[in-house]
Amino acid sequence: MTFYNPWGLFALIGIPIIIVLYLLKQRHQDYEVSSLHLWEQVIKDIEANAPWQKLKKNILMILQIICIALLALALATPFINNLGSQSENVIIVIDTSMSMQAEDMGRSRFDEAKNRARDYISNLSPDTNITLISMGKSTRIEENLSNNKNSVINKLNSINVTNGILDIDPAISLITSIKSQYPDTKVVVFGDREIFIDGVDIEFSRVSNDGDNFAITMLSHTKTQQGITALSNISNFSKSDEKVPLSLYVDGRVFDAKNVDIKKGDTLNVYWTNIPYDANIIEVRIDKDDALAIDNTAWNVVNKTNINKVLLVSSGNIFIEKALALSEKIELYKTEPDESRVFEGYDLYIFDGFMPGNLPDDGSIMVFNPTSNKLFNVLEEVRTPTIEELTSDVFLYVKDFKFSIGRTKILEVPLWGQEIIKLSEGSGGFKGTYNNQRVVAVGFNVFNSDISLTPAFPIFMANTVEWLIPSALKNIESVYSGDSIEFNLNPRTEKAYIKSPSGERFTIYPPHPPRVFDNTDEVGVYTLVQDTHEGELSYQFVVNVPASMESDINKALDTISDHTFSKSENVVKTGLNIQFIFIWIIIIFLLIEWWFYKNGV
Amino acid sequence: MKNLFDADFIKKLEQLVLWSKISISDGGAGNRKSRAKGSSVEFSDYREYAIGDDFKRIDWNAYGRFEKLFIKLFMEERETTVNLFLDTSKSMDFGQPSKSIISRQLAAAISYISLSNYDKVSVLCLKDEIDKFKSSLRGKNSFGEIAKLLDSTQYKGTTNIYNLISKYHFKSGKGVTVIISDFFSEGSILDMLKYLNFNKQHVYLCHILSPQEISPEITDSLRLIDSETRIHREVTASNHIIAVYEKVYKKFITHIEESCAKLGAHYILMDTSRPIETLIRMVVNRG
Repeated sequence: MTFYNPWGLFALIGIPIIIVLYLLKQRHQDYEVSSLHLWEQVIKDIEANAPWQKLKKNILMILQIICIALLALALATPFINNLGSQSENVIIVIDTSMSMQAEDMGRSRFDEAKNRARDYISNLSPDTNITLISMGKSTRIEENLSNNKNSVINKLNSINVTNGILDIDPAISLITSIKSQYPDTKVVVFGDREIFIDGVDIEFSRVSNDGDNFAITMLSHTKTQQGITALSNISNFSKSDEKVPLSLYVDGRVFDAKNVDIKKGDTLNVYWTNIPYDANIIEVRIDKDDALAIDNTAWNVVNKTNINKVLLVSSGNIFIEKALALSEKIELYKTEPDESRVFEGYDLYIFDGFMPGNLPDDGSIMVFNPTSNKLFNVLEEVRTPTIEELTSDVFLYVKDFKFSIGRTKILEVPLWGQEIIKLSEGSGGFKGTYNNQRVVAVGFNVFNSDISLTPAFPIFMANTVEWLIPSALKNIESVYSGDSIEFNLNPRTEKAYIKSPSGERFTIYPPHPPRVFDNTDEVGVYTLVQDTHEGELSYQFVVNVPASMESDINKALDTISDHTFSKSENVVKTGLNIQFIFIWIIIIFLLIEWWFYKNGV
Repeated sequence: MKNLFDADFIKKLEQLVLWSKISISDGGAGNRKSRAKGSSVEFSDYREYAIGDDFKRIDWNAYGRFEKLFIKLFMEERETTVNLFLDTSKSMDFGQPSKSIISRQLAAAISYISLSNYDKVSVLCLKDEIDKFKSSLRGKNSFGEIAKLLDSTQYKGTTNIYNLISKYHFKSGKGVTVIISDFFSEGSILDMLKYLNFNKQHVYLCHILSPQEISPEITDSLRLIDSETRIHREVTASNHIIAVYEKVYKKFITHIEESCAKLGAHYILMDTSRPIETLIRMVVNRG
C-alpha cells in the first residue's frame, strides 16, 4: 500500500493531542476509602477476568485515537497497487472522433471515456508520469510526462469531442516513439475502437453499447432536364430493419419528405428530384432519434458555375480559340493587338505574340511568344530546340506526350516563376504568381509547333486555364469535419474570411499566402467572403460529418471480435484508491464510540 | 468524642448489665457462675457422698433428714481476664457513622459489662504496635480509666492486627479475647485464631464495617486513596465494578467467618449504621 498524499499523515499529530487532552481531562476525583484491601482485590479480579477492562477504562480515548489514525490514513489517500502493474510512465489515449458522440452509455461515449480516464488517473500512484493524448483526425499531446494529476485531469476535462474521423496512424506512431524512448510505458486507450500496435501491450477501455444509428453517408446533386436531382445515401447501422423518415430542405425550407425502409446494415440510395435550378443549399435530414444525432443531417451546395471572362489578344489563332471554347466556365472575348488599349475587366488575358506596354493587373496573364516586359526577360530565339522535360501540373495527363517546336524564344525564368518547358537551350516556358497575379508564359508561337495539332493541346490549355482561373475551393469536392481547406483567392481579393455556420469569422487573407483553413469541426454551411474593391465575392461550401467512416458506431465491436478480446474486459486495471474504505471504518468507529458514550461504559 | 461516654450511654450500659444474665465468658468468667463446681460460697447442688470426698463438705443436716450422706456442691468462682483488642489504625476512623466511635463505644460497653461482673479487663489499642493499653483493671471504678484511654485514642497509621495479636503474651492463661477491628489487614487470621486457642482464649471477633464499606456508592472516575497508606488506585464507576466489589466483599466476610467457625471463635459482623445497643447485644448474646 502506498499513499498519494503522504502529507495527510501529519494528521497523526492529533493522537498525542488527544492523549494530552485526556490526561488533562481524566483527572480522577479523589475519594478516600478506609483501606484498599478489598479494592485491590476488585481491580485484580477485573483485570484477571477481562484483560481488556484496562482498555475499557479508556475505550473512548482509544476509539478516538483509532479514528484519528484512520483519518490520517484516509487523508494520505491510501492506495493498493497490486491490482495492476504500475508503470512509472503511462500514456492515456482518449478517442475524440465523431463516433464517441454516440449516446448509448446513458450519456455520450466521450463523457464515459473521460470519466473512466479520470478515475484511472486518480488511482494512479502519485509518482506516475502521465502523458495524455487526444486521438481524432489529428493526434495531440495534451499533457506530456506530467506527474501533476490535477493538471492532467484539468487538461482531460478541457478536451472536446470532435466531428471528425479517427485517424489512428499518427497516434500509433506517437505511441511507438514514446514506447521506444520509455520502454516501461503503459498504454491505456479509452475509446470505442481498439487500436493494435505490434509489440505494444495496450490496455483498452471500450466505451460502446451497441447503440442504434442511422446516417446520411452521402449527399450530392446533378442537374437534369427537370431541375436538380439530389442523391442521398441513407445507412442503417442498427440491429434491425427500420423505417426511416427523411426530409429534404432546400435553402432552409422543407421541400420534400419520404419514409424509406432500410434493412439492417444496408445503405439505400434515395433520390430527390425536381429541385429548382436556383436552389443553393440542399439539406437532407433523418427525422428519427438514434444514438448519434450529428450524422442525421447532410448538406450539399449547388454552386452556380462562375463564368469567367477571358480576353484573347491575338491577330488570329484558331487553335487557342478552339481549345478555350471547350471550357464551360469561360466566356471568350477576342481583340486585335492594340498598343494604345488599356486592358482591364477580365479574369484572364491571353496575349498571343504581343505584349502591351502596360500589363493588366486585375487578372491572370497567359502569353505566347512574348517580348521582354516588366515581368520577365526574353532571351534569344532558337530553332528546333530539344525538349528535355515538361514539368508542372499544366501538363497533367500529357507529360509524356511528344511534340516538336520549330522556333522558340528562350525565356528567363523570374524568381517567382517555375519552369514548365525545359529545353536543352534554356527555358521554353514558365508559370508563377506575381503579386497575387498568375502568369503563364510560353516562348513559342503555337503555329511554330505541332503541339496545336495534337490532342495534348486542348488538355494543356484546359489545365493552364484551370490554374490561371482557379475555383475558390481547390480540388475538394466534399469537405468533412476536421479537413483542412486551401483556398484559391481571386487576384483582386484584398481581404478574405470564412463565416462558420454559427457565424464565427476566421480571417484567412491577408497575409499572403492565404491561410489554410482548418476550423472545420462544425458541420453545416460555411461562406468564404472575398472583399475586392469591386465588392464582395462570396462562395458557399458545406462541411459534413465523415459519416461513411464514423457512423457505423458498432463497427468497432464487430471488427475486433477476431481478436482475443472479450467484451467484459472493458475495465482497465489500475491501483485501487482505498480512501473510501477508511472513511467507512471511521464512520463505524464513530458509531461505536457513540454507543459506548451513550451507554456510559 | 465528648459524647462518647456520656451519662446516657452509661445508663444504657447499666441496663445491659442487668439484662445480660449470662457471662460472655465460657471457661470461667468474672464473678458469675462457673459451670465447674467447686468450693465457692454459692450453693449449686447436692450429690451422694462418695469415697474420697472431703468430709468437710458433708451436709449433716441433710444426713439428719435423709440418713444418707450428701455432699454440698458449690459454684466455683473463677476470676476471668477479658482482653479487649481495639484496632485504632486510620482505616477505623472511617464511615458514617464512624467506625472509630462505634468501636470505642462497643469496647467501652464490653469493658463496663466485664468490670461489672468483676472480671479483670485489659484494653489494648493497636496500631503498628500496641499503642496504648490498660491491663488487669478490676471493678466498675476502673471504668473511668478505660473511658479515658478510649477517649484519648487517636486513629492513625496502619496495623497488622493478626501479627500483633499473635505476638501478644497472655499472662493470665485462660480468658476472653474480644477483637474489634475492620480486619482490613494483611496476615493470617487462622494463625491468629490458632494462637488464641493455644492461649485458651475464648474469642469474639467484632467485625466493624461502615455501610460505605459494605456497599460502596461510587460514580465517575475515582482515585481511591487508602486512608492508611495514601496509596491510590484509579477506578471508573460501572455496574460491573460494583458487582465485583460485592463478590470480593462476600468472599472476605466468608473467609473470616469460616476461619472463626473452624476454630470456635465467635464472629459478629457489625454494621455501624445499626444502633450501638443492638451491636452490644449481638456480643453479649453470643456469650
